[in-house]
Amino acid sequence: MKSIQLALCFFILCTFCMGEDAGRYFDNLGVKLYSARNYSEAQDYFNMSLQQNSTNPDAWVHMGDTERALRDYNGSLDSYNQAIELDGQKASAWSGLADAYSAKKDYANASAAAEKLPMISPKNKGYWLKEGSLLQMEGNFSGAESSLDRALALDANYKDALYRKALSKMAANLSGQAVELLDKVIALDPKYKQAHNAKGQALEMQGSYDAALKAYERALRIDPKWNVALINKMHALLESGRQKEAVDLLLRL
Amino acid sequence: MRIITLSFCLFIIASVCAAEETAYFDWKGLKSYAAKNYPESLIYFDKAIEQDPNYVDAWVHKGDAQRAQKDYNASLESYGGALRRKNDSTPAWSGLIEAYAALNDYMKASEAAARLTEIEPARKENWLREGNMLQMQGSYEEALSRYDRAIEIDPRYKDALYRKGLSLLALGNESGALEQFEKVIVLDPAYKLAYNAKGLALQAEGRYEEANEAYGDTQRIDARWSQPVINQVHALLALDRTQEAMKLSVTT
Repeated sequence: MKSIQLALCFFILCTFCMGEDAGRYFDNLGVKLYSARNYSEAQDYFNMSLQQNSTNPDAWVHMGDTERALRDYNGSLDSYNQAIELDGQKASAWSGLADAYSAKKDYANASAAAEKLPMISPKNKGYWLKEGSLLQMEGNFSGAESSLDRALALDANYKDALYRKALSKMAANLSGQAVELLDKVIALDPKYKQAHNAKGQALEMQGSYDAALKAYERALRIDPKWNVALINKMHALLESGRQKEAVDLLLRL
Repeated sequence: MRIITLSFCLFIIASVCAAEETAYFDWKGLKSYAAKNYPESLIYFDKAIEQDPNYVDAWVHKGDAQRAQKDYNASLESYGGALRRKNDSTPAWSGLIEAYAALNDYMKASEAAARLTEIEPARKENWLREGNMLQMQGSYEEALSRYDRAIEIDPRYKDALYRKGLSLLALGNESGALEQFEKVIVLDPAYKLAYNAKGLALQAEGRYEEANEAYGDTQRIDARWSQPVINQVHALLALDRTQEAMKLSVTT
């Protein structure tokens, strides 16, 4: 009787282990396909992995990432939520959730999800930046500034956070402080085209159209086909009364 | 006498057959061209030209195929080949304009466009095209008269009215430009370019609130077009609505 019980226990254990191993194996295959951007096939493997073992939060996150890549945002939200239900501290799930909401332009939920990230790992500057960026997208620029300051407390030369903080300053009509921050970014990375472009906007806010024009031109030297800087340049020309040049540009956009 | 008559008949039959073969190769080329198989179409057009170097259509079609392959210099030569044989071939002049424009040589493009309007002055499209090439060259004043000729032919020609508005805007006549853009909007309320340009003209006049509205109208027509959104950021910044402007800016 004892040996029958033992054999039964052994059989159950083996089945469980096999299921888990197979689940991981399919998950790994899916990750490989995902890296190769073969999303639909990757999805098949994640499905197989979850059929074998539906309690693996990583597989749910990978499934969510794949659905997001396939623009099935609602599907991806469900998958990330499954992962969170299994492990509430799964940062990759919260991050994916924030990105999926952001893709749906639901910035309120996106920043609510991003808020969890620095709680899970407060020493991760990227999480503070993500929270700050999504708060900005929601229109909460002052709230964003405090998150960005937390990122900068971890790394004072964190150029992405400096850049985003400059945007918050611009929203608060503090264009002078924005220009200072953007100059810091440019000193750290002269090829940071977004900083040159934002500097142009901040200078425009001050009515310095010639200086703004130069900033846009610097952005365009880095990326001559960047539409945003081209349109901004057109506005600086228009505001300077150089309408002919502005229309020249408009015709080429 | 009989032999002479017979050889004459044979000569006529042979000529007709050769001409038919040329048209056949040209037709085959056009079929490949329509299927976007440009290298194959070029083989057929070359065969047609080889059969009859005076077959103007084949030269034009060859130029079109070369242009589709972005071999603009070669296409210029082919269109030139057509024009050497028939100087008033409108498709050849038309192709020439497009090839020069693709090479950003708007001076030559507008010269070719001028020739086209000379050949076909009753076609409004020719005047519009000549005007457009002049605009691309920066000759806004000269372009105006071409648009006027197009509008003379068709007073409801919205593309010409829109382009005339742009010329006026470039020349600093914002109110004249606005008048043209308004006309276009009345004719076609879905003409997004006119709303966008109207916004720019209003902005040039310092009427930022109205400009903001015009950009909003543009977005209602095409929500995926980013230009009016960026334009709106500028109008909002000018109105000191910085919070709104920056929210738009970070989500674009």
